[in-house]
Amino acid sequence: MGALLLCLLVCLPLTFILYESSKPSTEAWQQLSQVDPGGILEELDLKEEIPEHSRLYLKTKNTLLLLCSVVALSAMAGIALAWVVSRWHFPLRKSMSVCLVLPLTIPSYILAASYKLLTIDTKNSLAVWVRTNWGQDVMSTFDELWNFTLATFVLTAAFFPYVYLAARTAFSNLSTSYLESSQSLGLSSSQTFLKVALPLARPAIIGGLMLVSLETLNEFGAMKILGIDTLTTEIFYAWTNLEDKNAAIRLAGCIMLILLVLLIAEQWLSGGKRFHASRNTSSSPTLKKIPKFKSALVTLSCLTILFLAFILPVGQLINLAVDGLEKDSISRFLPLVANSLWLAANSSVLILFASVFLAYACRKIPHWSMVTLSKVSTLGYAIPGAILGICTIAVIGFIKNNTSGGNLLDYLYYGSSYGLVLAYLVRFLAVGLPPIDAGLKQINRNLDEASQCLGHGFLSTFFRLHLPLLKLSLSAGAIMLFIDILKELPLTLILNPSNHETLATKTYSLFAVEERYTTGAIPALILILAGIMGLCAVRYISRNK
Amino acid sequence: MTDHSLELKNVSKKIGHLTILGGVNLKLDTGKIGVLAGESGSGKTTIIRIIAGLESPNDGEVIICGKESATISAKGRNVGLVFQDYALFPHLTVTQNIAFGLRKASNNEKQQRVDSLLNLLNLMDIAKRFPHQLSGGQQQRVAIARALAPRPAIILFDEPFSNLDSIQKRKLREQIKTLIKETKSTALIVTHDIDDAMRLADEIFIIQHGKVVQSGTPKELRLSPTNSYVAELVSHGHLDRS
Repeated sequence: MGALLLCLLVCLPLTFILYESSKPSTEAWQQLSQVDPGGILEELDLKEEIPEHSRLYLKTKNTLLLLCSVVALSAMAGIALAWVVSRWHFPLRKSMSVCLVLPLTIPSYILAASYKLLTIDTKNSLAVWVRTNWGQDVMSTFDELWNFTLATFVLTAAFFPYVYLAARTAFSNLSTSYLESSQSLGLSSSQTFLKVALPLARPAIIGGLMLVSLETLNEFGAMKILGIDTLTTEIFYAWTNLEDKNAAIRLAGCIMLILLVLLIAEQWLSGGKRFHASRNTSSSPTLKKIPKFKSALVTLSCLTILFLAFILPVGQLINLAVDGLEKDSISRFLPLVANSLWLAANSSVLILFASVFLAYACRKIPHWSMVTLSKVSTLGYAIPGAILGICTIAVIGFIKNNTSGGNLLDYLYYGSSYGLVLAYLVRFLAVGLPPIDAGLKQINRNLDEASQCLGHGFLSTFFRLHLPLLKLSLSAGAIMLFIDILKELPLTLILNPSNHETLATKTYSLFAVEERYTTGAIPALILILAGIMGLCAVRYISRNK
Repeated sequence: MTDHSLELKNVSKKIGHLTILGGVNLKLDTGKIGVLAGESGSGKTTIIRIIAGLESPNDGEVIICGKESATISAKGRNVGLVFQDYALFPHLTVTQNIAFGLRKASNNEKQQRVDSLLNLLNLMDIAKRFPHQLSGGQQQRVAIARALAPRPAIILFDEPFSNLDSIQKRKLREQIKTLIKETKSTALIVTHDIDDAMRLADEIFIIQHGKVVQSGTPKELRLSPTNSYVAELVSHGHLDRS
């Protein structure tokens, strides 16, 4: 019953998208989806004013182009780095193996703000040069191209660690005997990589690429800062500028269609290819010795990527924060820290509770229906935060109009942060569930039966056996949730009560709206620091495991 | 009237269309050691899981100490089970593992019972160790002590010697036999090794295709096997042909 409720909670926004899309389209939607809404320009005989493409077409094109470029670049960087780190011997390999995950601690909107500032002088000089030599039109194209390239770079730098982590685990777990037998059959190192290692790691890599795709589609803050219009930013435009719920939800429907295609592609690409490659018997794989020149080149490449994706932007933020602290006291940000901690802690506890409940239900009732309910409940992560936020408000509006519980709903969603906590539950259940599920799966079912035979019932077995054994998985899950919730922007922007700003919303508003970079660098660094501490804690826990 | 600790009457188990047990009948007297011997996949483990209450039969009766138990859960059945992989709780020490089933006892009673089992099974020196710090034989003894702690009506052993080398196995086989006799327990042991069965059992039940094809003392089975399958088994020693 509880699993069904969680599943319904996730399905509600999706159902609402379908419901709203089935209604007649509004004027705002026509403005977005047609080149000449109502045929006014044609009627006024201003055919030359009619744009070649609709706003919707342009934003969809931008979204898809960005998605393809970020996914392709993240795949290249993530796979290549994972392969060298897990299979080659080179100076600083161990440190690189850990440090290349660090870019995950910088929220993409902070990275975007940092790079915007770092490149603004170069961009302006080049823009002046382009305008002087080729005119205004070419300069506009240059401006668009620059922003798009920068956005692709920023998102790749922020999200490639997802692919890197997935591929690194897959490559490290690959039995050396596969690679050795391939080479003994006459294949070169690169052929072995392409024909043996890559196909075996494919399901994991596709999983990582799927995460990159979801994050790219979810991206709002970085796009606003860099001036790129995508379907997600268009949702905010329809919601805040056009004040049209129907148009915003229809746009959400377009993103969900892209997501559906991606999910089908993921199933198709990895569904039948879940290999069970036997692991190397030794605790770490045999590392290949490479020539000195090559190993120096590999170290340099890793360092360059780490420098661009982490050291340079963090260095820039520290520099800004030092200036910022001269004007602002850090105590000004303490209420924000308190708000963020309160939200992240409460939400993490609720999500962990739901995750334990779902994972335990699947263990106790291993029926296909329960497994399906559990899988559907984690689909919330695939719904971009902006869509989830708007759908939540739309659903509340719908319930308020049709029931008498309006005051309570108003309090839940506008007067307090409880509504946001519930929305986080829908979105982040997919982050909390896997570590708990994996932890429970590691507990031999014979232990449950032994406990039963020794006279212990369901609750006693849970508290005395499962909970102590799940301690590390719960801690890892809690930390991951905590970091993700601290960083989450679009959902928090939409659902957070106005008097309850968080570190993420304040950083975004200081960077993107007020353009006060020195002041914004302070909460930004606090967020990054929290992320680094979280990563260290997860690493410590994994080692202890 | 015979004093049976355990009686199975026409117990059958099906999974889908597959018949796992096709009407198993079995009686084991109090204080005796029974051995279920059969090839892999013959249904031996399913029988002890049904006796322990971890699986329900589709049909038939499971009578433990004169009480029909098919509807009683594993928790309330008072049957001890020693798992093939021992299933020791990894986060608990040897002492804590043994005390796990003594829920209703007072702290004093718990302490006394645990101490007596630690002494009986020669586990005193390793009482504070965790399962991963023990050898296979030590883990086996802890699992036996844990199963014996709540004084079960019957103690079941699922392939108790499969993870041990031949020296450890011989030693433990004798220990188990002595222990069961000393504690006057009733035990049912599953094995695919006829040599173990012949040396341990008061009564052997030969299982083939989910049915008891012959039961009797080791001597009876040796001297008068009822069919060629049993004759071949008891003369050649090992049952596992898989």
